Amino acid sequence: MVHLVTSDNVEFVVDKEVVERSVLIKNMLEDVGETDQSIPLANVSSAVLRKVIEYCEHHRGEPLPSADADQNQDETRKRTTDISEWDQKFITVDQEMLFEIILAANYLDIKSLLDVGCKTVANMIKGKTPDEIRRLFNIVNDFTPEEEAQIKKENEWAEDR
Amino acid sequence: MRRPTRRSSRHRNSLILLPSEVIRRILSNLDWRALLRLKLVCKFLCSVVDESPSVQYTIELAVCGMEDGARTRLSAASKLALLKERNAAWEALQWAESQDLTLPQSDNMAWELCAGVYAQFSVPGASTMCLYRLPSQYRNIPASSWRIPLLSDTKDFTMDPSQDLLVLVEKPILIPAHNKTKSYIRIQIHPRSLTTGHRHSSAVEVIDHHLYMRSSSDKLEMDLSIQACEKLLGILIIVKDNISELMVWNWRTGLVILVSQVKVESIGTFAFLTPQLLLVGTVMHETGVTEPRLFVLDISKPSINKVALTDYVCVFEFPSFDFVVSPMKIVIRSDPSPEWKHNPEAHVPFSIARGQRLFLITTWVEEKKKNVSYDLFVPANILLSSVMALTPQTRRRVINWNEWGPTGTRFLKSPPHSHVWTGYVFGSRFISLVTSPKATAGRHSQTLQIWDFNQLALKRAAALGFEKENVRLVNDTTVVEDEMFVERVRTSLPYSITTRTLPPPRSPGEPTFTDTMISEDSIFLLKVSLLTSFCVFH
Repeated sequence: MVHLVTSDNVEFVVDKEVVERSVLIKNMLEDVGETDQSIPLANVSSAVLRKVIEYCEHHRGEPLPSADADQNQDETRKRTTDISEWDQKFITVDQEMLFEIILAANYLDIKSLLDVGCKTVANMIKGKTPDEIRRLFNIVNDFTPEEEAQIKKENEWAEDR
Repeated sequence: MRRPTRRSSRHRNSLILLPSEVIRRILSNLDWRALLRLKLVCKFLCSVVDESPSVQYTIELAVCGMEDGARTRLSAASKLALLKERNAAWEALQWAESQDLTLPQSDNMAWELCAGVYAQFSVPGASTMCLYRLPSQYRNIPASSWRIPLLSDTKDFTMDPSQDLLVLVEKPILIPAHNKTKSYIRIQIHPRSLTTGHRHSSAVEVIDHHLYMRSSSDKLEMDLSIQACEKLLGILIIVKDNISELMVWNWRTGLVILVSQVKVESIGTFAFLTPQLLLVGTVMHETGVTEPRLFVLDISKPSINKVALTDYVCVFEFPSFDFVVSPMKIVIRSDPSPEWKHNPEAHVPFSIARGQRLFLITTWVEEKKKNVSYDLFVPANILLSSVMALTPQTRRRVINWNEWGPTGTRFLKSPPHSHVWTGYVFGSRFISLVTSPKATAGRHSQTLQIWDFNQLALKRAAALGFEKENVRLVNDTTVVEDEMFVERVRTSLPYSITTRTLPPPRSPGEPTFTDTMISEDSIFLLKVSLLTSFCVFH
């Protein structure tokens, strides 16, 4: 069993097999060997770690994506063209939690979870106008009207008419 | 890249505060149009789109009508550089490399240029076929050549290098009428491996077909055309003054997908529009009215019942010819087959996108004993969007010329192209060899023209300014005012013309080029009079 302590000081005790889906933790455990000491995760809150562990529990026993495949973006893309039904349900959370899960997956180095998160954000972007994207993700339009008009003009040929 | 600073926890869930590698990962799931649209969201995303090689590569591929080859170890940045280099080479028409091939010393030869492989043998009698894989420095394909054994009496063939497929057609045999049976033609079709010439591991050994004649005949004068598309194999057999039959099989299983038998004048040509839709060109004799038409047949479900040309999804009509004019013949050209892509084992960085296909449909007409030909240029997606707009149950819908022709095609009196060396179309491009009739100091001046109908590339070129000496955008309307037609034929689909003057013959006695062909990365120039072809690799 592995002891994890979150940023809000909550301790989780998790099966080694489950938690080793995180490449970060797997490498740590290989470095320090068997230990009863808890691993501090300063960037992950208990609410987020609970979700992450739920994900790892569900995918227990599945092969880890190879580091080799990850170097190749196209392979990655192919792997994630669809989100499985369970993952889809799992990732149906509010936007703040979605971003927290993505950040945690990135920090903990859990490729498959990161892909599910990124794919979900991409699906939110698809088919939306720039204005809708700004509102959805709290982005401020920092273009001057002239700059905006210029990019619009440059992009005009690409619009499907 | 400038990144906005985190202003308050309320903005914690802003997309642009994610680490840049995460943002790139999100973007890798978006298509090129969504990526370009992201540029309008804010300065930061605009710079991510502009500065990320993988995003730029995605956009460039889409605009060039190419697809990523996936299984290569090259980075997006180097693939982007290769793609740009390739585009520049096609614009400048600078030769990278050239090589001569020799044609067999025979009056009659069978040849095919398909997806970067050129194959030929002389008919009859040759026991082997010579094959040449054209090299491409941009896509890491080395040149190679090999020989494979033929059947004792090979009449014709087709191939699909991506599936290692070679289809040999044995010389058909006429079996005369006997005991109340009609006379028929026996045709044996052998799917083989293109590398070895031996049996193809995932194909049936032989397709044995009997074509029953309409009336007895003791002569066997026939035309045969053959095409492969994925697991499908189509053959059109036209027996002179007797019958024409179009057959489609699954060459892996031998299953019959379509049989269409009609009187001889009817089916003139065919091509796969998709693996589910067949395009059939006819010069129809109906109630005395003769006009070229393009039928679309649904081949998604196998049917062993013979279908006449009455069970079609829709038919594309042509401009109406004047009643004194008789269309004689129609031919559709398109290459490669609709879903064709490189064999993944080839590890090419990119190749032509599925659907990026031009159909060139040539119609010959006779007027006052004179033969004239007209070319219709139409991209596959123009035909497909008309078909897709129909409800799935639609049958026999007539699509009038004015619904699809004027804005979706170019129709003109044929520019120079061979009727023998038919490899003048590849992807969205058409190649033409123009020989000026005026001889300068006893020498002909010859020019290559490449017409490109890739609409997206044209739109971008027009929007972003286009200043290349040898490239011209054609945006105006073509008007065909011949007396051949009931009305003037106006068409306006944009295309570009890239030209390059060919070097003159080295000595006055040397013949000029006679024909030209185009492939994915190469151009063929032929000097048939010397029985030598000069082949230029691009």
